[in-house]
Amino acid sequence: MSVSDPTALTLRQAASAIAQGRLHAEALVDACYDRVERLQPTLNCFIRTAPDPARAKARAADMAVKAGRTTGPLHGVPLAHKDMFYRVGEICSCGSKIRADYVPDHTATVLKRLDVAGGIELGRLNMAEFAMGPTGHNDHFGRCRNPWNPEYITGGSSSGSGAAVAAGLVFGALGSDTGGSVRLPAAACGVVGIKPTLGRVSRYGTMPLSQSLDCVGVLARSVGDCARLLSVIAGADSNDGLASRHTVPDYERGLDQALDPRSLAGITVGVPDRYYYEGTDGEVAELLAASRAIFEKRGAKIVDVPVGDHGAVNDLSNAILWPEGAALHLSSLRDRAHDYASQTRARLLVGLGVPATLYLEATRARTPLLEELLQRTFSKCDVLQVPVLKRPVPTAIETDVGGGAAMQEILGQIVANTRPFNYFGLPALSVPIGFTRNGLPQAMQLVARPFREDVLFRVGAAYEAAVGGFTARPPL
Amino acid sequence: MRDGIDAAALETVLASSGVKVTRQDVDAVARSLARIRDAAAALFPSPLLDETGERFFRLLEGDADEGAGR
Repeated sequence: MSVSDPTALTLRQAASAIAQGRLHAEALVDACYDRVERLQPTLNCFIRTAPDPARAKARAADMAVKAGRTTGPLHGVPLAHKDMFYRVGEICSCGSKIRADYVPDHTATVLKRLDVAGGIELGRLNMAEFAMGPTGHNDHFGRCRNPWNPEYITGGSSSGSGAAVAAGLVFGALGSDTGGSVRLPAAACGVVGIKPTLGRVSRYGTMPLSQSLDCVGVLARSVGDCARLLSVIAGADSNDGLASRHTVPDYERGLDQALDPRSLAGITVGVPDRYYYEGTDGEVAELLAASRAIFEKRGAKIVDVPVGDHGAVNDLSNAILWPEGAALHLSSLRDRAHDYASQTRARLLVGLGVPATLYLEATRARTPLLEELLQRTFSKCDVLQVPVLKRPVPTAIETDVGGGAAMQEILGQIVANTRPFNYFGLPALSVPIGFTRNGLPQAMQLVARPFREDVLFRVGAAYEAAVGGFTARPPL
Repeated sequence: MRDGIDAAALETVLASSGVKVTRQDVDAVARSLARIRDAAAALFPSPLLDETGERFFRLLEGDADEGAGR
């Protein structure tokens, strides 16, 4: 098979072509680096690249295929990750000045699992400082730019992950999601992103922000690609006592059935009766309605479902996020305050003012509030569908608010629909649903019961198959 | 008072952490705290006396166990 532009393949197509000897991993790595070299000045996705070790691994991968050795599910596939996953002996900046020279003494479990599966890391990706910021701005490394139009935000905090995957620089990327940081860049850049259930993926060796909310997730160009990546990284870890011991299913199993015209028969999609759609822009609402029509054509039932006061849940999550973040950063806030971006510092300061009793109450209230959501809402549906963003993707200028008075309002609007699901610990998948008139992508968010990522992938893959795949590429 | 928050008391709390703060910082934190306080008032069931943070994780895990039969 001749592959004219191998960077346009999906991750699963590329892995298959390499395993069958139809595509050389080294040629694929070279093709990706060619794009990186050409597009980095425009997009600013990468903080660092590592061409020599990547090419050496690619050559070894090609020799393994030639020798007929067994290959992993990511054998020879180029990846890159948000710069907050530790690899022993290699700088991990966390998008910050404070950790500009930080060299970890251990390697993240997720990186080890990707290595074992055969993935090849091309470098480290841009991100919001310390994963705090939903826009893609970064005062230290420069703003990451959206491949669909560099004047617009990528979303954050996994800004480089969204932009690099969308631009075809890599086939998949790790991100982290404490309040929407995987789903927002996936949505704004037009790729698929999953925030798994809290505890589904080990956090050992990843930069912490909030132990109660942090999740490691993945971004890729198709639902099946995300399913494969999550299958590789999920599962128990002796180095992380909070990683769940629940068996990890093969998330790719059954996804081929997505092509069946009635593949969603028996699935009920719930549309919340309050909060998530309130104030949604007309264009965005139309795209969401069109996506529900596709669900119905595939056999799904659409129902309105009741939800509680999730606007208040959104605000309440700040009583957990910022105290936990501030406790981690307290020493640096005292001694190196000037090395933080003004916005990062301003958000962390909130954590210093939250009374300990309020923090604990907010933590303990998660149980009855989740119980209510499971009983009142998920008893009536298999998945919830809500917008990721209630409005078209904004420009960088509109959202460049620093740490000023507008910060709370502007940033609050961006994370309004993503943060509640971090509070509840539920899995959520961001799936592209088309474009608004500004030429930027839009996305729906599908949310399921705990550990039902398999249901999210099933519904997402059915939608993807129905629209003929996510084949649009940014004009680069 | 800022948004029903005693700004002077808040400033004392923030300063006691050892972090230098300005009056602008205090005002911004007060605005955020006011929103959190309102959310808590709207959401907290009472009493939470017997509730534990640990049960949240059992609920997540337990729901998945029950899901097999759903």
